[in-house]
Amino acid sequence: MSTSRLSARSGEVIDRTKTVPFTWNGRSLSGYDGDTIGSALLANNVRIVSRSMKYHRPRSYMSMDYWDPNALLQVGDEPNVRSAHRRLESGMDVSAQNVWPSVDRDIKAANGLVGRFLTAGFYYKTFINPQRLWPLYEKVLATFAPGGKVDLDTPHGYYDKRYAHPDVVVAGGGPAGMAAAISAAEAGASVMLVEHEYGLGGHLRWGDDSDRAIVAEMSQRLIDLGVEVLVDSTVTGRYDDNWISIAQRSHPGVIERLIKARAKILVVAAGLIERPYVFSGNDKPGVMLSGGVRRLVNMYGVRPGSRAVVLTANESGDQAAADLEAAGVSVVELVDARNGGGVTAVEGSPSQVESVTLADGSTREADLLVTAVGWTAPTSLLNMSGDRPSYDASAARFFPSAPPDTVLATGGMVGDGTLDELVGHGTATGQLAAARAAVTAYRLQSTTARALPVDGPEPDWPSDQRAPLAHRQHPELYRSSTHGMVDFSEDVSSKDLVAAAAEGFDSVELLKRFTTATMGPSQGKLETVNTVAVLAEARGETIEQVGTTVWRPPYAPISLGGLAGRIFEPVRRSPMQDWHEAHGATPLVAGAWIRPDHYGDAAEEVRNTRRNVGIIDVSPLGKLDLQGPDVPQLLNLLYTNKWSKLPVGGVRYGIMCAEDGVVLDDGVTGRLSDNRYLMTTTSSGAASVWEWAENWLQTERPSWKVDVTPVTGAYASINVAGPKSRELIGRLAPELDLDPERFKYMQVRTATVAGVDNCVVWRIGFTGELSYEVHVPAGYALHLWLQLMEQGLDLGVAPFGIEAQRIMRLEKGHFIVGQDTDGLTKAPSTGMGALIKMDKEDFVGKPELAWELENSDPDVLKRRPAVVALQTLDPQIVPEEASQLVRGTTTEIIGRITSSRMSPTLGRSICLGQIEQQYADAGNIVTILLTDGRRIEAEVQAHHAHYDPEGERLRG
Amino acid sequence: MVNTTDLDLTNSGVEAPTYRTSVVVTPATSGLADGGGGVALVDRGDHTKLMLRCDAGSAAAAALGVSFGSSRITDSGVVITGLRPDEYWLIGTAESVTGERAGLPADGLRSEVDLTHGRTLIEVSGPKATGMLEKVCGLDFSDAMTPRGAATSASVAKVSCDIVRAGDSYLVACDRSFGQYLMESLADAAREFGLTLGD
Repeated sequence: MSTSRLSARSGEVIDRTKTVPFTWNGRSLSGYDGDTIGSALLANNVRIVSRSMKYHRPRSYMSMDYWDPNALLQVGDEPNVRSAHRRLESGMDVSAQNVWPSVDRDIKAANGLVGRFLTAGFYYKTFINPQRLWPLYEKVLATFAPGGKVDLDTPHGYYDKRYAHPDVVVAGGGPAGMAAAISAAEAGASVMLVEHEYGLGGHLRWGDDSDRAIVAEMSQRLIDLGVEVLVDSTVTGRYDDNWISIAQRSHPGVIERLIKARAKILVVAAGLIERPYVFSGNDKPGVMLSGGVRRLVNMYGVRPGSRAVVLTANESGDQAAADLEAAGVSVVELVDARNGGGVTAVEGSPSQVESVTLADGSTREADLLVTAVGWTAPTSLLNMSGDRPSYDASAARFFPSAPPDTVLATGGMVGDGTLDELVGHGTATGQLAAARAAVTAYRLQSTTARALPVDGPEPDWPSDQRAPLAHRQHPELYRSSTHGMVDFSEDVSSKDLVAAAAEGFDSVELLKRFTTATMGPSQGKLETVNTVAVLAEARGETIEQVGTTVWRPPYAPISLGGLAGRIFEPVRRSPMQDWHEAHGATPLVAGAWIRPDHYGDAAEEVRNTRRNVGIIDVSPLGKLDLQGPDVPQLLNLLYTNKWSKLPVGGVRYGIMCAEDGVVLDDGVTGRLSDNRYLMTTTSSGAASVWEWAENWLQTERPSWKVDVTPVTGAYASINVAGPKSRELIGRLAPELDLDPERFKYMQVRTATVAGVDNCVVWRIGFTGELSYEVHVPAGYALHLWLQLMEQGLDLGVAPFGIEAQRIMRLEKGHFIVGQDTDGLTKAPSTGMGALIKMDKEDFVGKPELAWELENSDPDVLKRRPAVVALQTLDPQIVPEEASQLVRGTTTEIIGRITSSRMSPTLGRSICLGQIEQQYADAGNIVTILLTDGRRIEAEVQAHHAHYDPEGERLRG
Repeated sequence: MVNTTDLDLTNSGVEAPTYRTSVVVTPATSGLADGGGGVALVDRGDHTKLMLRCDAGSAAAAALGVSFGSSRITDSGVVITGLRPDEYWLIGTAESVTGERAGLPADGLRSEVDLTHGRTLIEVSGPKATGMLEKVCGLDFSDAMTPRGAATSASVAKVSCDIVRAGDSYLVACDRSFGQYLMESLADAAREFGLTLGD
C-alpha cells in the first residue's frame, strides 16, 4: 500500500499554494496549509505512525478524526497530540511515542508473540507476589506504559477561562445543529454554537459541492444573526441547571480556555460516530472506516491505497466506494452487508493489508479495506443530563430516551432522514429551544433584584411538538465470525472480553474496569457498543439486556492548564507593604495577606522594642464598626464577659465561643462614642467573625438594631510599642492627652495623628510593652508610618515584624486562638476563667459551658486540657512546636507544645502548651518528647507570662 | 505631660498627609497597556465612598431614590446605589457626596460609615468592558440581567466585589487590601481586548 496526494479537488480544505514544512522522527517533510498532521503524513506515504499499547502492533489511521485511536503523537514537548485532528503548523517536530528503536521496528512488538498470555488482569495477577519486588516490577513495567514524554521544563503557557450566559448552547455544528442555532437566533435567542472540528458542516464537509454550498449559506446566516460560533471547541460536560463546560482550543493567543456557560437550553446535535467492525486483523494498517476515507480523499486530497475492498451496510460505505473510484483507487469488491455479504479477515504482513477474506471464504487482493457497518450516537451529554439511551435493534444503534426538558437532542443521533428532514428537525428544535429559553429568562429576571422588570404573566412552558425523525433499518454488524480488536486504544480484543466474561466479569461495568475496554483515549466513542455487543453474545442476551456503561464528563479531554486558567491568586497587601519590601522585609504569607516576617534579625527587633520603641504593621487585624442601640446586647451575646457598662473611651478584651463552648476568636472592642463601637478580631478570624455576627443578627436576633460594617481595609493598623512609645506618639499627636492617669491601659481615643484626622488610638498591645495602636485611615497609613520613622529617629525607633511580635507575645504569655487553642479547646481551658461570666443571662456557648462546669466527675476533670506556660529545665533547648508532652518515661500523651521560642529578653527557651489538668499545677515537672526521640523535662509555670507577669510595663 | 524632647513639638515637623490609593501602576500592569482602548481601567480610589444604612420605607430611603440592586446618578454626578437590603452607597467626589448627604432627611437614617479608605474602586469602561468582565466574573452581564443602573455583588477574579453598572461604565469595588491584585488581574484579563490605563 502506498498513499499519496491526489490532484486538486473541489471541496478540499488544503491550500496548495502554502507549503508547510515539518519533521517526522527527524526527517524533513512538508504538507499544505489546512492539512492535519495525519493527512500530511499520509500524503508523504508515512502510514505506520504508532504502535498499539500492549502488543506494540503497527498502527495507522482509521477514522481520520479526533477519536482516531491510533493517532497519538508527540509534537515538540507536547505529548499525546491527536494527529488526525490537529492542524499541521510550520516547523512542527512530530514523532512517534513509546517506540524503540523506531515505529517501524519496535522491539516491544515481541509482546505480541506472547499475546495469548497477556490477557486482562495479566499484570495484576502476575506481579502480585512477592510484594517486596513490586518496586522493581514497577520500574520495568513503567517503560511499557503508553504515552508521550512530558518535559518538566516546558514553560507554562497562557490559558484562560470565561463565563457565558447564552440562552441556547448548541453542541455540534453539523446541518441539524446549524439549523437549530439559526432558528433559535431568528427567534431572538442568544446562541453559542460549538463545533468539535475546525469547520462547520459535519458530514457535509466531505460531501459534494451542493452539500458545501448549503454549509456556506448556513454559515453566512449564522454570522448575520450574530451567533457566537466556536470551532475546534468541545462541549465537555453538562452539569446541573445546564452548567455547560466548553473547552475552546481556537481562541487567539490562548492554548486552551475553559468556558463556563450557564445555558438556559442545551441542544445536543453531536451527530454520529462511525463504528469499527470486529474481525481478524481489523487493526492492521490498511483497514479504515468509510468516514475516514471520505475525509482523507475529499478534504485533504490524499489517496489512501490503490486496491480496495469496501464492506458497506449504509450510504456512507456506498459513497466511500464512489469517492475511491473517483480518486483512481480500484474498488475490487463492494461487499454489501445489506444483501448478506461479509468480511471475516484480512491477511498480510504485520504492517500491511494484502488480502481480504470474504464471508464466502473467497479472498481478494487489496491494500485497503473500508468498512461502513454502523453508527454510535455519542449521547454523552444526554447521559450527563440523566438520560439513559435505549437500543433499537432494527436500526442497530442507541437513541436518546427522555432527557430533561431543558436539554433537546436533534440530528443524526435522534433519527435518520434526508438532509432536508435533518435540517427541518434542527429548525424545530431551535425554535423550541428559544421558546423555552424565553420562559427561563422570565423566571430569572423576575427573581433577580438587579434585572430588568418583566412584562406580563409568566408564559407557559412550550411543549415538544417536533415531528420525530424516523429510525432507518440497519443490519446489526458488530463482530464477524472471527475475533478481532474491540478497543484499539487499550489493545482489548473480543477474545479478551469473552474470557473476562467467563471469569465472572460479566456485567458491563465490571467488564470495563477489568479489561479497561472503553477507558483509553477514545473514551468509548468507537468501542462502547462493540464491547456491549460482544458481551451480549457471550452472555447469550440482547444488547438491550446488557445495557451500556455510563458516559461521564469530560466528553473530550481538557488540559490541566485549561482547568487552571490564568494564574492569579488573590493577594492582600497593607498600605505599607511596598515599604516593608523596600526595607528588606522577608515576606510571610498569612492566608491571603503578605506580611513582613522580619527585617533581618527578629531577636534584635525584640530587644530594640523592649529597650526603645518599635513599630509594627498589624493592618490585617480584623476590624468591625458596630453602630446602633443594641450593640451592648450583641457584645454580651458574642463574648463570654460583660459589656453593658463599657464607658465611652473604654476597651475590653473578650473571648468568643461557638455554641459548643470552643474558643472561636478573641480580641478587644472599644467604645468610640455613645452609639459606635470598634471591634477587633484576630487577623485570620476577621471574615468569620463578621459572618458570625451577621448570622446572629439576621437569623437569631433580627429585632436588634445593630449595623455591622467590616473596616479591616479602611484602617491600617500600626502598633507603636516600647518604653519610648508614649514620647513618639506625643510628638505626632500633640493635642492628644497621653497622661497615663487620663489615657490608661485598655482605653481608646479618637485623635489627629501626624496631621491625619479620624485616627483611633488604643492603649493596647500584644507585646507586653507600653504601646499605642493607631488605626489610621488607610490612604494616609504610609504617611503615618514614614512620620513615625522620621520623628522617632532619635528615640531609636525601628520596625519589627511578625516573628518579633510572636516572640514578645509568647514572652508575655498571650495565647493565639488557633495556635495555642484548637478545635476542641473550650473557653475554661484557656486559663481565662475570669472572663467567663456564667451569671450573664446568655451568651453563645453558655449552655455547653454550664454543662462542662457542672461536671464533677474527677476522671473527666483531670483529663481536660489546660493552656499553661512551660520552661524547659535546659534553657537552651527549644522544643519544636507540636512536640508531645508524655507521662514520665511512657509514651502516653498528656499534651503538646503549642508555641515555643528562644526568648531574646530572658535568654532562655519559653513555651506555651496544652496539658491535662492533672499535670497542670505550677511547679510540676513534665516530659517533652522531642521530634528526634530525645526526652527533656520542663516545669509548668504559675503564670502564662514568662516576662513581666504583673503587667507593670504595659500599664506604665 | 510626657512630651519633653528637644524636638519641636508643635507638629510643625510633621508633613501634611499625602493620600495614597491602593493601586500602584507597576511595570507589570503598565506593560500590558497598549492603549488599544477596548477596555479602559481607571483607579477611582480617590472617590469618596459613603455607606449609609436606612430603614426601609423611611424618608431617607425615599430620598435616596434607589432600591436594592439598582443605582442612579445624581445631577452632581454622585452614584447612589442600593448594594444590599437597607444598605446604600454614595460614590463621587468628596464635595459632591457631602452635598448629597447634606440633603438627606434624618428620618430612618440608622448609621453611616465613610469607607473611602476601605474600598478600592476601579472604573471599567470601553466597548469590550463586558467581555473582559465575563472572563473574571460569573454574572450574566446581558442587558436584561444587568441593565444600566444594576448593582450587585459577586466574585471578580476570585475577590469579593461590589459591581455597579453606572452609565457607560462598570464600577468595581473591593476591600482595599485586594486593590493592587485586582488591578493587575483585570489588566491581564483585558489585554486581549486592547488595554488603556487611566483617564
